[in-house]
Amino acid sequence: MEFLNFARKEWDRVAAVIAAAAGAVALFLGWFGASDNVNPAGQIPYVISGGLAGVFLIAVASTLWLSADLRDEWRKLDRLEQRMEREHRTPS
Amino acid sequence: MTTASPWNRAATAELAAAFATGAVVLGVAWFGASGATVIADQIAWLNLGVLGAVLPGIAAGRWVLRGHQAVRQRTDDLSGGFRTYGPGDVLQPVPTANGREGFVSHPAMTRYHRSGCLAAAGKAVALESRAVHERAGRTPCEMCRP
Repeated sequence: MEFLNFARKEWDRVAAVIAAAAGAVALFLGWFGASDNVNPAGQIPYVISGGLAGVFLIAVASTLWLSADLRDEWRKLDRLEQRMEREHRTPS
Repeated sequence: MTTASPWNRAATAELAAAFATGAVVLGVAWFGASGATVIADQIAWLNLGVLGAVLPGIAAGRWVLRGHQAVRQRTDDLSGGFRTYGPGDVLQPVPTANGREGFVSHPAMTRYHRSGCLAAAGKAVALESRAVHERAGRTPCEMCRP
């Protein structure tokens, strides 16, 4: 239950970790498939499905994580703006 | 007026479209390469696959840059109304009747400020010495650092 609450609140970071893990698995499977194949024509599909797809998933993960950081900054600025408005209305 | 996140709908749609296109292009490249038996044909599919990985990368870079610019712009807008004075940016001291440097505050305030501090602007403040303010239990303002 606690994890579900965390996942709902930090969905972008959870998705980033899942995408990064999937990217790492894709890279490993791509390497594993290509290294087992002596024919270069048989290796290229592994380069695409494992290597490039792995890079793609890691790009998704990085974007999600950096977006989460920027959203945190945005929420912090929301709080700061509200506090400034409150302070402006009352003597300090 | 502020928005709920640093990105607007158009930026979100652009990113989603780039990632969806990249995924489709990668799928097509993999399908084409696995169906080809000649290396020269596969290289063309591989190039398409590289495009499918680079396109979302460019879109992701633009997305993060836009978000960063929006956060910086908002920070600048906010800091225009909430400014911390630096050591080389000291407000001019104002003397009290007995010649000591004076600081402004109000009986309802918990902090005292340099004359001209934005935190005291527009408030009915009185000029007193530091000792008077401190006896009243007031602390120095964190912005103008009197």
